[in-house]
Amino acid sequence: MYFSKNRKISIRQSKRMLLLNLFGISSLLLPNMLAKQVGSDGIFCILLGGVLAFFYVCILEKCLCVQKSKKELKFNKQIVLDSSECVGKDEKESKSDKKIVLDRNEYMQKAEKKSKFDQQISLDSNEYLFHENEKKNHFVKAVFRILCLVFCLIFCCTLAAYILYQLERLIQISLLPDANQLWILILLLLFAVYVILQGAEGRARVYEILFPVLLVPFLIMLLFAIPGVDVTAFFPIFSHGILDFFKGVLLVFVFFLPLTFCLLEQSFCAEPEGLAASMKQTVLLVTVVNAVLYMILLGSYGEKSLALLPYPVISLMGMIRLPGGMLTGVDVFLSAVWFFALFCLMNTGVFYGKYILEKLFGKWHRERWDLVESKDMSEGMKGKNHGKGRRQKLALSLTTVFVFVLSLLFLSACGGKELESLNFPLAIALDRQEDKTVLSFDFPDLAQVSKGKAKDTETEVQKPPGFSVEAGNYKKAQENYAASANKNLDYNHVKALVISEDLLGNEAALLEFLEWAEKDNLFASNTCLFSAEKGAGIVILDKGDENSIGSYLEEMDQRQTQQKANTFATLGDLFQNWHNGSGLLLIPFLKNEGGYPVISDYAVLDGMSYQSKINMEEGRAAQLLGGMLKELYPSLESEESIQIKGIKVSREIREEGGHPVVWIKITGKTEQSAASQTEGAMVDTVASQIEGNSFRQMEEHLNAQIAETLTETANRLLLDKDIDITNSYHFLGRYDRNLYEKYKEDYSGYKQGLVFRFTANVKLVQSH
Amino acid sequence: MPTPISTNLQENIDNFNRTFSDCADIKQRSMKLGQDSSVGCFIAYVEVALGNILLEDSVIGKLLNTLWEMPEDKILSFLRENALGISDTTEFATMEEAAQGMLTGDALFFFEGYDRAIKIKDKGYPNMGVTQTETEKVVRGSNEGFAESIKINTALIRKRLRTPKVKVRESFAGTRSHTNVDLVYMEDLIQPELLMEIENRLKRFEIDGVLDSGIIEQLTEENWRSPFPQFQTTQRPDRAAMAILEGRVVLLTDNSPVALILPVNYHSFIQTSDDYYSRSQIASMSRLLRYAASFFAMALPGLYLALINFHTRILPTDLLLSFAAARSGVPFPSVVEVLFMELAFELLREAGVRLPGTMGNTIGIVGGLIVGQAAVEANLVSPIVVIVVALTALCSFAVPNEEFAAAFRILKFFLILMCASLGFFGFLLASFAVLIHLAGLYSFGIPYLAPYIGPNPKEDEKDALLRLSLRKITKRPVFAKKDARKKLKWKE
Repeated sequence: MYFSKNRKISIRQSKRMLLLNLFGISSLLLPNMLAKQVGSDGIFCILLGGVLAFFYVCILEKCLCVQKSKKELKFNKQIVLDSSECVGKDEKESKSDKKIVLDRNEYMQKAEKKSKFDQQISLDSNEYLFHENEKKNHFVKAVFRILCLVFCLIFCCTLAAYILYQLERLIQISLLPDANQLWILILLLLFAVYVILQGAEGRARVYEILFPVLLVPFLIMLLFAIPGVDVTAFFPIFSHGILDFFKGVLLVFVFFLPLTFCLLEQSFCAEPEGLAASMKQTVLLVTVVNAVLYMILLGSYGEKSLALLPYPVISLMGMIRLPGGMLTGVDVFLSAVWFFALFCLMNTGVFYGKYILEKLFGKWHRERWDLVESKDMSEGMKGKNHGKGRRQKLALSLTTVFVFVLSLLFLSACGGKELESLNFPLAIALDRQEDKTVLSFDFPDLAQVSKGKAKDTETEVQKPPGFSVEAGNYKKAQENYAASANKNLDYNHVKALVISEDLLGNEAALLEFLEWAEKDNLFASNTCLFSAEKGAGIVILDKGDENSIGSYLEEMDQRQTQQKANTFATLGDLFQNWHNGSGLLLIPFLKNEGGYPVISDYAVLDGMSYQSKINMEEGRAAQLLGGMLKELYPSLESEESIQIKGIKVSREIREEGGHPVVWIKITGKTEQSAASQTEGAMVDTVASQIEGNSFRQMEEHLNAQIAETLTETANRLLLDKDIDITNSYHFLGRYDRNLYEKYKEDYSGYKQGLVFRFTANVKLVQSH
Repeated sequence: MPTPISTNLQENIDNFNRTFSDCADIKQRSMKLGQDSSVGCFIAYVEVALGNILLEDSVIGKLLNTLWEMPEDKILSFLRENALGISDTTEFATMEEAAQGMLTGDALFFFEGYDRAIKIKDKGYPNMGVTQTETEKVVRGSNEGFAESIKINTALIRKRLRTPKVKVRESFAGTRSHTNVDLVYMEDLIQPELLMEIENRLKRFEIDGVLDSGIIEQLTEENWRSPFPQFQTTQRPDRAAMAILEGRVVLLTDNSPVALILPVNYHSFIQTSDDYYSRSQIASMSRLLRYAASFFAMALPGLYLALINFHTRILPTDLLLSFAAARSGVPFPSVVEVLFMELAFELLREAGVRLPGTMGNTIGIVGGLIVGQAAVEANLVSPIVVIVVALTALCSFAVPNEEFAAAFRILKFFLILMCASLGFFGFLLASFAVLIHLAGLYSFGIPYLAPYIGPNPKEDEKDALLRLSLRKITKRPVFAKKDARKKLKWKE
């Protein structure tokens, strides 16, 4: 007979739903909670929590009292079969007792034939429990019912309510910040009821289909996130107390509690004997995925930043740059993963809560099961239609309510804005004027975009459009501006922020801006950061081409020859500095040269403290030590032109003579630069004359020069400007735990005693 | 009370005339048979349905010629034994049955002294015959299409499946139309309950006339509220034959060139006959395209609205600015624009179907190019909306089955409203609702989402989203009986 309508779900469906239930809620909430609790030790908490969950599964396995085929007891035979096997058939009578295993429907409707020893045959533990309960006295029955009710209310309903809250919050943060949340809740509840009306099978099928659609893009995005991970954030390990650590483990375990639903799920499972194995596999998978995810999040954001993000995994999805740059901000699409996963869990809670209440207090409608092999098909059809009619009426009522709600939402325009009511600034300048922060915008010329016309160069822009902010009240200033300009501002496509030097030096004002930007999630975290004497002066520059200044500044990141792509400081880096309290940020400092913005210096932020500007050479050195360069043209005494490629920087920090000493080794290999090829190939001439030891001497000389230059630069910057261009404090926890403990709260003390030791091992490659 | 056929010819004639009074299209002829022309005979037929009965090479002509020369006392026994060996004759005992038999387009004979009326098949009613199928074009494969005669259609299937295991169960539907309805299936592959179920459903209603298979489809489907069809329609005999080989049932209706195949699932509407005639790589790519097309036929306009009204940050900046520039000057909100264009397109589609021949082709060019272009230049709509709507239409045309594609055309409006109200959240809810609906939809016991859900996903999915090599597809799909699913065996 075809397999449908047996009201059973397969093991594959059960496994997928369980995975979604566990993965969804844990991946969304756990990173933030663990970061607050145990920081970098969260990885170990996840692994240990997984082990604990595994033991929990073993306990649950014992409670699953579904027997596969025959289980012989001493005096009786209990024959429990799957309902599809036994429908309509009589079982062979055993020697000592007569038992007939029936279809569930018949079990509920007919009296069981009781054997001499009053055997019970049940298809699943729930039936067994409820039936056993009926045999006992009223007191036990009442206690049992109360316990079930408590379980139902506390676990099922509370879980469902909490998940609904998280779902609503996720939608508000990621998808509909301006929508009326009450309507969203109503819609979600309507849909939850609609799903439940489909029964266990309908639910299971939906998630079976959705499973690969949701998980595959998520895993792909995780792969793209790996290159952005900084392993320094993983250290030091075990730096939090043992109590915090165990709290973390317990926290992880709590997220595995939905496994308890499997006790109820076995009634609906076609192969309940496979449930235990699927639970174990799911626990393993979820633990591994969560551990990997936590590592990626920790490496991308740092411990303190991670603790402040409401949904770090969603923020991570928004931060990832896809190759080709076709789509940005894919966190919107990927929020679908958690939407469905949370919905699945909420649905599970409501479904089983309803199931328990039905068992305790009787079904509210007498729905008869479809008999897969009914002896009288018309009876089966009647019974099916009877229950089906009621379901259809309920579905019709729900549909009516839904259409009503949808009409109201449609007419009230739930937060959507037409394109023509928006302005899209591509670059923003932040200046400080008379105790006010002034924002200036670079807007694209839409007429130029549509007609392909060149920019109107005749009109000189004296003052770019913008608004000023008093006392950090950005929201009010923005609203006033939008009202006067008759258009709202959409910051999602801001390519560059140009922060004036004054504002960089004013930490309080800068923090006001960052708080506003972070709270409303206005800007993309990969917005490039620049600095200038006057930001507005850069934003109004007319380069004489059709490109806006924002796009030009964004492309500057790609145009750098020596620097790797996408290594310019971004707003996300600034947020991390702010939250983590440390980190060296090199912000390109721009000046106007012939109508074009060019990088003249670098503004240095150490944590949130503006140190000073450094020149291009010093900036290069800092970039070299930060691993941001793909090639280097060092200036040497002999004025030879050398190009160093394949640069790798390794460092070590240890205590020597009571001082922290930073050992940095630069490796790479030289190639003859294009300049020297065209200008007479001095190196080539020299190299061609070298034999044996002389070549090695030249190499040593080159390495010594590089080391000396770097040492001199680093010491000078540390002494004169209090800048540690090696950013060694950020790596302290990774290399020396004792030093980390000693200088954890004493950054200035650390810098006072800091000593640098540079070595270079650049191979000189002979050109032919 | 049925009227028995009398041995008195005049009585039969009187009864016949009473039954068919005021029927100018029913023709009658009396004649005398036998060597001495003493045996009376009466022929009745529907005008046009009978050829020249006196022609030497017609069956009726041969019969009459034989009877004219036969001794009178041998005529009745000759008739009783069908000594001429005419293959397609039927005897009726009552006037009502005889009348019904004549109305199928055959000739009816009454003989003096014979208590039965004999129906002999001849030319039959006029019909279109076997033509090329207009709606289900394929790149590779036969171009034969079903005709309007049920007999021709069963023959077209029989031509492809030359095994006695192909059974044809005949029944009638329509109290006044008495339309022939045949169920064609493979005896050893089909689930017996399926046959029982469809027969029960056919008996469950009584309607006065069944003029097309569409009426039977609507009266027998389980979930009539769903926009998704629970029968598959086809005009291709090879498609029908393939369905029978899968263990499904083909329902043929007289006077309808459209056959119904049952049961169905989502995948059966996406696959086409030439999926199996082409190489697996081509077939797989085409299937993926069609699946994507079925999704975008429903989702594209809604997604467009969600992105430009709620989630502008997903789009690349240049594209977004280009959209914004294109929309400048358009006086309507984007949702009105989209609805306007979609409705205009539906009107064009409807007009194109109703208009004959070349005019129907022309309307597409006129509507698409001129009206669309004019609307853009008048700033009624932005160019991007025209592109979105056109792409959506293309996607719906890429879905092989018209009824199935129509479901997406309807649901598209639901998604437009949801996305216009709630952005991507609305899109998620709407798609979820559709998916939940599909998860609970059945066609004769087969879940609509099979084979992606079910007990044997590994086996069934070999011929699902991707079509693996035919060498690897050794089993029939989920429709066939469990112990009859093996279809390919390699000889050692």
